[in-house]
Amino acid sequence: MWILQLLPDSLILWFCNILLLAGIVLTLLGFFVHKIPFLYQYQLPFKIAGVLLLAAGVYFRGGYSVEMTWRERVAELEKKVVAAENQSAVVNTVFRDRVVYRDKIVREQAETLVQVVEREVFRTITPECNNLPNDLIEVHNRAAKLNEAVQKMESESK
Amino acid sequence: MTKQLVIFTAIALTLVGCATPVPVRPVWPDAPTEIQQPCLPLRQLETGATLKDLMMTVIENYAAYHHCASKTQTWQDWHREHKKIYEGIK
Repeated sequence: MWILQLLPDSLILWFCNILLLAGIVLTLLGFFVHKIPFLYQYQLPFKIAGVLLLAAGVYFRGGYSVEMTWRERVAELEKKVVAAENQSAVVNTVFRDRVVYRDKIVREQAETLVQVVEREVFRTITPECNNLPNDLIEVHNRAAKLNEAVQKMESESK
Repeated sequence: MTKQLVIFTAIALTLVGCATPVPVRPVWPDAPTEIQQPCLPLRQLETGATLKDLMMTVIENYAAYHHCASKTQTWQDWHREHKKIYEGIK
């Protein structure tokens, strides 16, 4: 039925209806043609052509209905896709704003904390306490790179 | 001639019946670029660092963690919301 997608709906409908109507007319004529002068000898061709046209008409009319059903379904889905894309754009904006806002709050809180530490905490620390043992620094640095082994393994496997 | 016509018609009708409609494929959207940035590596102390350096580094590392956690949470929410939206297309 792919060829139907290239043709306008009205043309397909007209074609199917004409085919179906011609089939019905010819089939009926096939039963009564023997009473019509000059045509009575064409009874069999009329019947055969009528049945063939009727069968083709029914087939194409059915195909047209299926095609229209699919087109409606496609149109409905396309509408839903457009609505989803619009909704997605709105949701994206909300999440972008949210993550930017959270980052801003975290940064501000960190800056405030740094100021508090510099202004108040350092006054209470004696010079002796200010020096850190090397072991503590090493432990801190090892903790900061706990994922180094994983990253190394992943980079080797690539 | 009649036989050939019948065979041709039968083949044509069979081929016409096999066609399928073009499917509609929704495109999965891109996430905001803000949440696609990788998490920052944690800062380390230099040799001879003081308690002040330690505190500043800890604050900086916690901030980096919270940035990263925020991005991860947003990714999860983003995925959940979009799954809900796109599952509605049926």
